[in-house]
Amino acid sequence: MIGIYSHDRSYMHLLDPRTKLALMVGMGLLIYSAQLPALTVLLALVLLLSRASGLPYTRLVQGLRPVLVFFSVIFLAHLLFTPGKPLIEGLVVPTVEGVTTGSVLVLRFILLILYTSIMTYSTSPSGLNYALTFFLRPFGTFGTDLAFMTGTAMTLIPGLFREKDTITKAQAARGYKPRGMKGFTALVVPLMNRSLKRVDELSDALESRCFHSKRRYYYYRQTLANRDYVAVGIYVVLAGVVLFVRFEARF
Amino acid sequence: MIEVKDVYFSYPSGAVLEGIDLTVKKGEYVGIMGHNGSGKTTLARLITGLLLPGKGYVKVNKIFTTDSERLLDIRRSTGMVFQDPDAQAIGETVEEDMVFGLENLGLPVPEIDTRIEKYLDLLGIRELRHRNIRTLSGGQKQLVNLAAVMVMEPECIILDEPVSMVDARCRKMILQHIARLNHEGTAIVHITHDPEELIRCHRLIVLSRCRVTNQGTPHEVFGQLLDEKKMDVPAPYAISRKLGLSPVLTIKALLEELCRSRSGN
Amino acid sequence: MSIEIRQLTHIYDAGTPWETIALDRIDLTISKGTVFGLVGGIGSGKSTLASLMAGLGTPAHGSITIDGEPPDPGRNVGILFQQPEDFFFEKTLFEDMASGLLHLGLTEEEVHKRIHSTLDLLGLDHQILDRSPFHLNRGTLRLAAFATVLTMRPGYLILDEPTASLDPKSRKRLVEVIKRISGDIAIIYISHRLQEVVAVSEYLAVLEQGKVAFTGTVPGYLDWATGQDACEYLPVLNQVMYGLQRLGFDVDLNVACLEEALEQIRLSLERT
Repeated sequence: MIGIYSHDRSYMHLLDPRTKLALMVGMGLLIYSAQLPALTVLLALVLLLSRASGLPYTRLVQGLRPVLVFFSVIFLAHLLFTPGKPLIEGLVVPTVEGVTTGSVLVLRFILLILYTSIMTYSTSPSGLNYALTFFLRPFGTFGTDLAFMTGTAMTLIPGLFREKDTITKAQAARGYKPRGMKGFTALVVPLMNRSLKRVDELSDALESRCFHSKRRYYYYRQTLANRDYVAVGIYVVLAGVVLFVRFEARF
Repeated sequence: MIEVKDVYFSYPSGAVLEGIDLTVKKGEYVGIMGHNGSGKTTLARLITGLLLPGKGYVKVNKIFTTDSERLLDIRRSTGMVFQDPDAQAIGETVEEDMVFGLENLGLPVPEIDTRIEKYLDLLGIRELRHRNIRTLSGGQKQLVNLAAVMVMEPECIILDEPVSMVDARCRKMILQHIARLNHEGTAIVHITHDPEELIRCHRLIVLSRCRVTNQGTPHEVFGQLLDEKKMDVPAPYAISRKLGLSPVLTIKALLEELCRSRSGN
Repeated sequence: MSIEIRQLTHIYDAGTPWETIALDRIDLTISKGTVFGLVGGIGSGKSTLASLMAGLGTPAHGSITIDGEPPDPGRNVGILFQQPEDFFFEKTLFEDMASGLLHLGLTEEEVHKRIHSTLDLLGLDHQILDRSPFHLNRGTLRLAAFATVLTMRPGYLILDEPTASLDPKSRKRLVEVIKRISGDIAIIYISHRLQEVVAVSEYLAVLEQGKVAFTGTVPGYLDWATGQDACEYLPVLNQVMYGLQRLGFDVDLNVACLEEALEQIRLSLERT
């Protein structure tokens, strides 16, 4: 679900993109520093936010499907290779620590993806670009160029997934369901081929429309509104609680 | 306003253009016809400086395409619509896509607002304004692409196979818009392999085997092509010529001619 | 022996605000040994239908059976997607074509024989087998991709815009090949180039917003098309014929090429 924006007027949509970007980074930090109890709270918060943004919960979760395998691998790895107190009598692995560490790691990834999805759903790429530019401006033209590149790259992500689907179908249509290294090449080579063609054409289009570094932004010349301050306020409270719980657990 | 002089261009796989000359005056509607692989797309990109010629030069409004400092000026006066509707989607919504070019031109906000409103209506895509571009059909996407270029109000619009991936209904609409644009003063360079698209041109050139093999008015060129049996010509033209009637370019005119012929009998 | 499609329905993103009904209770029969054209415009569902017919995905409701069996991609049905040249990835053309066949369980010798005989069928030079797919021109590559799907010997073959971006010579060659092999297998020809579809197919179906707007023979299609909005479904030559009919000329609506149209018009003028 990352990268798909839908025009709407939900609470999340109306927040200034700079607020959302800053909160996104803030959430990232929180997620990284939180342990299991706090992570579940954050998971519950996702439900609330998805309502606030108009993104149906089911769609949000569907976005996790492509990476499910990846998560399972990570969880399994931790299950099998973390030393500690055994879960089952007589077996060295899996351990309690394995389960906890595995869950924490997977949950963190999941939360990052879910939060990013909500943010990209409620923020137009133009807005994201603007927010990125705003924060990267201290770095000069490099900053604004970087901002644009990142913003545009994000719009290309759903396209990549769609291409992958088409390619797997096309290869399957030849009765060809390759596995392993062969399977990887059968997917990656055409994917790279087509993606590079697309990007080439996109850059031609950008140039034709006079893209240059010193462009100005049409949208979001607004100043921050009350709801932005409220959102930041909620975040500060949340961060306080999470960090408190985290360090409280030490005592 | 566009001058292509003795241009040569090769890709690693081989030469694609050899000794091409072309001029486009203000307000002219020039058609460039050729098979797939004849170099027409390359020529389109040479005109706006996306590619640079190996030999010869290209000038737009007296600026050389090799003049990298002034490339932006060239691009301000020439807009380009590409073949693949998907590849040109820059913004996420239709409105954003149209605004993109205007942001680049540095126009003030009220001006941007006015232009967006104007061109949304002109192209009849007002209901699509906030739609995500990826959810549109190929034809609608191409209409949006055209709008995004038109909104920049360039002196000349170059169209590279604009309707070859588009359904019949949108195709007709887009071709009508192009004709109207030209009527109102914008120069058009229309590149395609389908002769039916070029019946309204002022001037037509044919690219074949890396060179310009025919040029002139549509009637002149189609006549030559028909005699040389080299390339397809619009069906009404072929029919009218082969039946010995006054050559025509549209179905309507053909039907009139045939009626005239019948009453003559 | 046919493809039977009954009440086929497919919905994308069911239950969400994005829910779209791509196919709405489609009923179609496609018999072996014919060329069946599929035409459709904006959001008509032809790509979805093509994918489902090729066995790539499961329909929400309804059924597709090919000779009584479900579609099995690469076995009873094959599909050539748009721009198939992009899907090559092996170092030589031969390896690419062979990989699918080896998967079917054929021996190396059988694989060789099949590939060579298919190339002969298409009039392709065997030399190209040793070349890399990235070094051949588009027309040859398109035919090679076509060969790749043909080597699987499917009973039914779906072609999605097979002549797009091809120069006239390659286009003509491809159409000739299609006509030649259609006797043994069924070909489903999807294209928005109406003149081409009409010239190649024996039967046609038109999809509009997920429903079948018309199905039948080509002459039947032309008759039906004259009744549609602005004749958007009539190819140019047939539009001319129809215009003449309405003006009282005695001509046949069904012409497949310029020569036939001229013939009709000349005869009609002589009669007056």
